[in-house]
Amino acid sequence: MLKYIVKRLALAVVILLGVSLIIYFLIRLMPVDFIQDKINAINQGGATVTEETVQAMYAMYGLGDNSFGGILKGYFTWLGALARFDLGTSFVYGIPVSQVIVEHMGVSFAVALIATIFEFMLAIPLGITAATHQYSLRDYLVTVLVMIGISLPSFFFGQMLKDVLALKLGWFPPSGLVDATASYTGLALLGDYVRHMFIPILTIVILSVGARMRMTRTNMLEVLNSDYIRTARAKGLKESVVINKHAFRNTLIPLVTSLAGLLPTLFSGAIITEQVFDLPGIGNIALDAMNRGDIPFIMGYNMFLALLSVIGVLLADLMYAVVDPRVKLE
Amino acid sequence: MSEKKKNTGYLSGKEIRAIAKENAKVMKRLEAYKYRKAEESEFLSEMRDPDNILEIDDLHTYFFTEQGVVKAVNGVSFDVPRNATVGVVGESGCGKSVTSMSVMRLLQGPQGQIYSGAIRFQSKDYKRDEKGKPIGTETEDKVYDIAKMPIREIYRIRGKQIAMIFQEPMTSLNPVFTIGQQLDEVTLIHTPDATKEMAKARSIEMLNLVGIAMPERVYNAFPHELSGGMRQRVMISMALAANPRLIIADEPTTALDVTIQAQILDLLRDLKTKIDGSIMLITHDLGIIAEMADYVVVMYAGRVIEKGTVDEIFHDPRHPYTIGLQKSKPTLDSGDEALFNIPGNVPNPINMPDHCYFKERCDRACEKCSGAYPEMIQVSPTHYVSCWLYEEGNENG
Amino acid sequence: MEERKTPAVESTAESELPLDRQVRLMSPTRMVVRRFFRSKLSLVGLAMVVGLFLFSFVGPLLYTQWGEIQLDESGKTEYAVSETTYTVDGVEYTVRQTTEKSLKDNFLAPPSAEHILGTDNEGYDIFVRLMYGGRISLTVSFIAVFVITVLGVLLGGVAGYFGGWVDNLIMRVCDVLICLPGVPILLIISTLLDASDIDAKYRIYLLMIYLTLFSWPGTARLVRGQILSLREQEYMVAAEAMGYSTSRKIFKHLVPNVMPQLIVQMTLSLGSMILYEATLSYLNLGVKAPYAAWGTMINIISTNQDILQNHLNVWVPAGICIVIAVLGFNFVGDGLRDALDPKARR
Repeated sequence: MLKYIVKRLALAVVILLGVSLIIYFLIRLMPVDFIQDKINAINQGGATVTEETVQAMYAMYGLGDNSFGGILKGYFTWLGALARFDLGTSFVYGIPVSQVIVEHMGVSFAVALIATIFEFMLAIPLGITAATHQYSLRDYLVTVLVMIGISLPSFFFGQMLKDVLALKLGWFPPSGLVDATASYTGLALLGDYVRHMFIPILTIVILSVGARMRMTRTNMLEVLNSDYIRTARAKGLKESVVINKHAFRNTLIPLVTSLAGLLPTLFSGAIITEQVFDLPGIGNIALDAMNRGDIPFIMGYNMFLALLSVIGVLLADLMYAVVDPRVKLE
Repeated sequence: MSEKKKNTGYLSGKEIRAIAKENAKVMKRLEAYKYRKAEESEFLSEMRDPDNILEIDDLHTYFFTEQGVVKAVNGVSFDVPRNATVGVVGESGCGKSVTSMSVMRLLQGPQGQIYSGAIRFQSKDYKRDEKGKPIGTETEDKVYDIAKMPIREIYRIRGKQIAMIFQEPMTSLNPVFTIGQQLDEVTLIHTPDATKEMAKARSIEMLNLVGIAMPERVYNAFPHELSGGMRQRVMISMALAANPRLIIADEPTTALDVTIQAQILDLLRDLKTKIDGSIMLITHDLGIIAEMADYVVVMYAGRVIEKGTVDEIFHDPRHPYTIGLQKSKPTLDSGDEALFNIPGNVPNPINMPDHCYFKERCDRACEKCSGAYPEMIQVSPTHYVSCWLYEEGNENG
Repeated sequence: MEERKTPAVESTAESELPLDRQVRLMSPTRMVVRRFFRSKLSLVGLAMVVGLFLFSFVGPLLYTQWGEIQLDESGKTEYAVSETTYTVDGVEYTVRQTTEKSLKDNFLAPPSAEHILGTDNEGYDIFVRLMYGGRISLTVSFIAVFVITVLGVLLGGVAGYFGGWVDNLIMRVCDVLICLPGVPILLIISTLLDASDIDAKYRIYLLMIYLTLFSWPGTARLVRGQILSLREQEYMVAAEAMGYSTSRKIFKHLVPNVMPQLIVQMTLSLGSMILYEATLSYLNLGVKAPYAAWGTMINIISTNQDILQNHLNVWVPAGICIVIAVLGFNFVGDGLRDALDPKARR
């Protein structure tokens, strides 16, 4: 077990190094005068990028020295900073990037977590019922609905929901996280959050439930065709027990594994949805940073996401071993 | 025929649509019949011979595929007497497994369906109230026609009175539950008022019975921790746990290596004396039949071509196919260089013509063989063969 | 029970054939075609895709009233009259001031015979721009999928066939690329494109090409997996024994076996590429004004709430086009998957 974890960890480090190399390469492609233009634009926009911040960034990425040795040195300097969780200082906010990420992660996390819970709660029963009634009207109906969900562009669907539910019907506020005109506290504030997050969460759930449901369905179909399900039936178990106990427990294996792989999504923020509803989540902040040329933030954000993905893959492997008794970690 | 010239052995689009339409109609009807609600009186029946435990009578089991109707079992009739072992033998694809699946009603719908025929089973079950709940431990004898039973009623029989052992021990146990959990289930669902402790005691007893050395340890093990032979023992113990009246063993040793095969066969032979029930043994291995069976049914392309006692089939085989089978079995004292082999292939059972299916492979085929399919001809009180050679007045037989 | 008449033809002539040769089955091609069309969804999907193709590529040739970046300048010039009243020494003076408000562009026009779907906030014809937007979306997605497939097949094939350190290297690169975040990386690349002045017209092509550089691992893994299982098969051993060259083995034997799954994957990724393109354009990273793309056409509502609420004809049609395109490819891909799956039960 330990050996397996160590091996996986080593692999994760290798992957992370690869990812960092690519991201570093991308920033090195950026012309220095372009960065200077961006900084000037930010300064004109009201924020002040101190000379210190700019110099710190140049130093951190080793910009300006384009010799091979300089690039190499720059990469390792940057890597060293990364290892200390130093992602640099944001141009726009004037505080460390890691701090910006931590501050805005909460909203994204709350939205993603609630959406994921609903997604699983919907997808599993739908997937199972579609599989056990394969080729029936019910199966087709579920399939068509989730296909439409998969095919909807998030910005279009989000805007439509916003237009209908918020602007036309006025049931929910159209954007933001809190009502700026009222100052709620305690439960009332929580209620306000819920009202603001409702449509974004609804959008995410409808868009993502399809993929999960299809996964459940495919798995369930495979399990239902297996020999041990035939054995369970031959024992004289009722069909409901066969499906809800014997088949379900096996279908769960990939589902739980995928849950671990979802880790990055929980923290990374849904860029488009947050943009549509103007939620102050990390995805929206990243988009804003991109538009305003906050280069340290974009770099830091990408590294942060890559780290999450690597952890997600690692966790999925470990989770698989926990759920499936056949897997021995060796 | 006009389309003769481009007959490439493939169906035309028109034919395919006709098949699909016809199939959909028949499958819908049979599915509705399978899932209907019915009074018990609808599927109660009478045994032809009260000494039998199972009587299969002109069973037709079809698979409705897009290529046409596969008549996997096409008019099979045979009996399983009380406390006897009946061996069903035939090449792969001859319909022997489908017959057993029909008895268990485990056919994969909506394609696989019992089309017609009767499967009469002598049931001995707890008396039940109107809702089907058992009352006390008093038992009663009834004869059910399994083919007519709605699928919801099959739980009176499946697993409890007829148990099944499958060919693939490696994949037939649920990988995520322990052996104990899977074994206990059988007792828990089939014994009224069973407790967990009772179930465990019964499971351990069963594991002991099938010769597992450390039943406690196996009880707590997961299937992947056991070898193939061990798993098959577990499968057998699972089949025995509910004290069934009939055990169907579908090629129980095929997937195992030879030494393990011998052990499992010994075990099955042992059990025959220990349990009060019958065994229907399905195999393609004549050696196993010779060792285990009291009666033998030989199947070919979905039909029974010969049946009789084990003595009759082995010492007095009549059907050319049975004779061929005997000859193709390797023995030490057969001095021949090459093994005998029956020429040709088993026909694909779609759209079978109405003459003997073995005709082209048969070295004794006569003119009559191109005519109607031969009836079962009685050779002795227990020996039947379906071949024109033995028709009354035919001197060739 | 009634005996079923078998639909297949039986004739006396045929019964002379041996039994197993008499059986007539479906040809493999026909089986695939039949399985594909059995599902009405694949049919609907195919209709959607073909319809959109005709709309985008043939449409502009037939409907030539307006061009992609042709402004409707038929708007009337309005004159705004402001009156100011002064009272000086008890006498009222009214000063009329007339200003010419140039509304030359006929913008935000409602649907009419002139403009089937009206015009947008700039005065472009929406219907025509939908067609040109479709051209961009479909072309870009096809190019992207083509590049992804070529890269994936090549690298996956090499990894699977040679194994060893080559395989290891390529697979680690895959791991790395899969861990890269999709849209955020494109944010960086988009910034890079900003840095080097690229013609707005070609920007989206470049962006999608970059996207393909990060998207091939899925295909590569699929191809590699297939090849790993195939090279164990007997016919590969036979090809080896006959002394076939490596390239011949790969391209004549292995690739055809990977094709069915590859086709399915390609169809499905066409859908996701269209979504990607639309998202990028919506974020104003892809096709930029004045050129039309479905995503760009929706972009306006993120800043203009009046259009979001009151001018549905400006943005909803573009959204519907995206949904039809993606849904169409997904339906077709799904149908193909069922049709090509040898394990399908029905």
